[in-house]
Amino acid sequence: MNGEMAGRAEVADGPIMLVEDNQDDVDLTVRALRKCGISNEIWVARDGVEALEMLHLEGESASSPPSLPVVVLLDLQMPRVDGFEVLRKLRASERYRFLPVVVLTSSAEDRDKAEAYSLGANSYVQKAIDSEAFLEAVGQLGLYWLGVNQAKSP
Amino acid sequence: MRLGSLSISSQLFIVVILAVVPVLLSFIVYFSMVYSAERQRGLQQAERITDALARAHGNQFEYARSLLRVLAEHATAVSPCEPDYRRLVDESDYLFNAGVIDADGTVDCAALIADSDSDLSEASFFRRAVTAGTTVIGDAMLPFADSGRESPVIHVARAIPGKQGAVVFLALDPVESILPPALAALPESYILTLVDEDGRVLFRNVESERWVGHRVDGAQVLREQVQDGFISLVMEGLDGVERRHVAYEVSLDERGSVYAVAAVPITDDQVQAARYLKLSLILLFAALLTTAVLTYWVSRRFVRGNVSPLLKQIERIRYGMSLKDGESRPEMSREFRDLQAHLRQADEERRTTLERLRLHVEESPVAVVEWDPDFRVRGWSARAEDMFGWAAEEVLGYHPSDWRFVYEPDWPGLSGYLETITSNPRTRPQYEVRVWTRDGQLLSCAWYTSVIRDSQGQPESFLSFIVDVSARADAEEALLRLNESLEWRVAERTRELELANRELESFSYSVSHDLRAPLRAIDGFAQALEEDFEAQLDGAAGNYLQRIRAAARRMGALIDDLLRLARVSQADLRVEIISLSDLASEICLELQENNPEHEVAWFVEPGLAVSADRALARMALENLIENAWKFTRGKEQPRVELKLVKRDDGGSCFELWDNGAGFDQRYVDRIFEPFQRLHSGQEFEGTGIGLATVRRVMERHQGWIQAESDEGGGARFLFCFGFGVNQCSQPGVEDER
Repeated sequence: MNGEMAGRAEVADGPIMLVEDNQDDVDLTVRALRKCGISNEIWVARDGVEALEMLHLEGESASSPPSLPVVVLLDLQMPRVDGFEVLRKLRASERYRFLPVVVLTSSAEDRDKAEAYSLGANSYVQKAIDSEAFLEAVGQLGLYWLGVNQAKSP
Repeated sequence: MRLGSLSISSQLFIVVILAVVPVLLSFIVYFSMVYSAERQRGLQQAERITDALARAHGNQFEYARSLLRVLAEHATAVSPCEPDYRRLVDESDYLFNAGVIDADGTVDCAALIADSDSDLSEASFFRRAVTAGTTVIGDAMLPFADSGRESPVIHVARAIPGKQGAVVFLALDPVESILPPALAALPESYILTLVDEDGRVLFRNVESERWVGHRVDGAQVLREQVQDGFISLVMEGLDGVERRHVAYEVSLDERGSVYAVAAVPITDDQVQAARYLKLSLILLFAALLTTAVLTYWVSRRFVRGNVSPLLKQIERIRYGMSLKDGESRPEMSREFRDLQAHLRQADEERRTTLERLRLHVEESPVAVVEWDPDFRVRGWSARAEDMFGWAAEEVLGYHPSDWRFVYEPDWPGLSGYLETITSNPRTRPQYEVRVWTRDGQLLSCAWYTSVIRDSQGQPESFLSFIVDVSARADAEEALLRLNESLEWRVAERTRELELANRELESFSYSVSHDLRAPLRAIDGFAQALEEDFEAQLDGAAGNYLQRIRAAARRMGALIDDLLRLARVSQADLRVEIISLSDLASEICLELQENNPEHEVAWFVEPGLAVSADRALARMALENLIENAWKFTRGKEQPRVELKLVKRDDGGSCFELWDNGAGFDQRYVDRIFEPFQRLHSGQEFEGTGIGLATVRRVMERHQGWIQAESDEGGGARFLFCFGFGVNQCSQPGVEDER
């Protein structure tokens, strides 16, 4: 499976942004992506504030935009600024309006799911406890959104 | 006028009187007028005649007196005197004789010489003239002179001054000297008389010879009656003719009077009028008498004859005496007897009813007060005395404002209540007023007041039933306070509950998030260890890692189930009609797809519908059917069925049946408790929360679920959603729902 994925020429090569406060989840997610053969650069933000600074939406370097990530994997429950707020800010900015955002969360609440979609999330994925299922889900997601972006920006 | 017949007789009386009396009265009036006029005329005529007679006599007397005065002065000088007197008599039409009488009563000289033996000393006029010293008019008698005259003459005399005892006298011819021509022409039925004081007749125009000179009876009476100079009376004369007698006194001097009497016959007109008047009066009297008699007869005939017996019977009925027969007709007697019996019965009933009512009022556990139209106490029951402490005689006739009865702040309310019930008691039949008892205790009383009106609609009597509701009022107040505190407590509890719910919500939220993350890490890193360091791990290490990961996954499932159970309790119900058949079929298809190695023969009865929350119903059905799927594993021909079944009591419910492992019926109560499992985890996996969730779902729908099983012979779950469609009953539970 790994080889197949890595060899796909149509996969975009931009960075993947991971917003996640739990180090375990960061490690497992990164491992899952790598296991799926996704070798793209991965930006990790430890909460909403870091994420927004990293995208130059807030903080000292707010005026100089970085290069666009291919996809954002966004946790919802985070200290300081949570995932909903980050999503709201992204969708409110000209630059990130159409940036693919995948909500990756432990919450199975319908409420959270509904709110995430209404704020403009592209996908909503519950983090499964079963690590195989998790691995598969993250891998699929990454590939899918990388593929979509590739197709969009030739 | 109690009866119509009496009224008729009096009407008759009135008619007769009205018809007869006016005619008679007009007769009476007419004849009395005629009579009165005639009488007046007769009286006037009689007066005129009497007056003329008296005047004529007066004139004659004046003449005689003047003449006597002259003669008396010159009597002594003249002698012999006979020729002079004779000449005097001859020249006068009036004089019959004139002369002088000596003191011894002998005639000294005269025109006509008397008989020698005539002695005048006893003659009235002589003696009176001697003693009086003035002119006297005296005896009317036959002339003492021998003249052959048969009719009397009137003697007038006067004493001669200076010649002691002698008088000069004149003898007047009554007829010619007195009667004026008018009187002389009167018919013989008119009788004119002159009478002197002694009652001696001086003159009478008719039968003069028979009367003059004689005394008549009644002179004394006449004198007394003519005191005021006039008398008028009607009497019948000796000849049988009725005459009006009018008499005047003709005063001659202080020594004597003459009475002129004219008797004028009553005119025929007057007599006739008097007769008719008398007749009319008699007729009137007769008519009145006849009418009275007639009326009496009529009343006797119609009233006494017919009505009196009735009245007597009625009187007997009134006084409760036994009725007499025979007075009226028999059927009437019977009627009366029935009437009396009926009245007696009615009276008895009325009395017993009244007595009963009176006893009720007296014995009534509530105070009973009767008021007059001005709301003064008219009745005050024994209970009222007990309750308020005021004896009846202390309050009778008083308005409730007259003594310290009504609690002052309640006055305006009570006044309003009284006004309201006066106009219309039904609008406000009950009112609560606090009243003082005699010993100063304050009672809360409910007044129930009724009103009786007279025929004009004016209130005649009010009756109040007054109940002491102090205990109830206190209880109400306490209840009110309790309610207030209860509301406050409910609000508090609700608030607490909401808080608890919110806490529970955030708790389960954080559980779902925060408990999962470590599990995910455990499983994830165990897997990483397994995959990345496979070569360095021996069989036992691999096995351990597998068990770590299995435990983590089981705990994940446990968390999920617990969260689901909590969500069932918290979720808002959105009840709609859903197809249970479709839902069950979907779940079965999914299960079949996910478990291809375990082939189950399933059957869902079509057309089952319930009113329920779709999500919760699905959760419950999923749990039940998954259970069935799970416990039929290892069976030869696994089978699961969902259908509607009739119950013994006629109700119906759903039944999910499987031919799986079943359970021990002894522990049936435990299978719906969370974490209670009847099978080991090795035999059948599971968290032990699923059936608890199902029961919670049913309970939230006000339904129920129960399980039946024989060990090894399959399980049967009977359940029911409490709302609407396909509602079914559970024996012994209906009452609670």
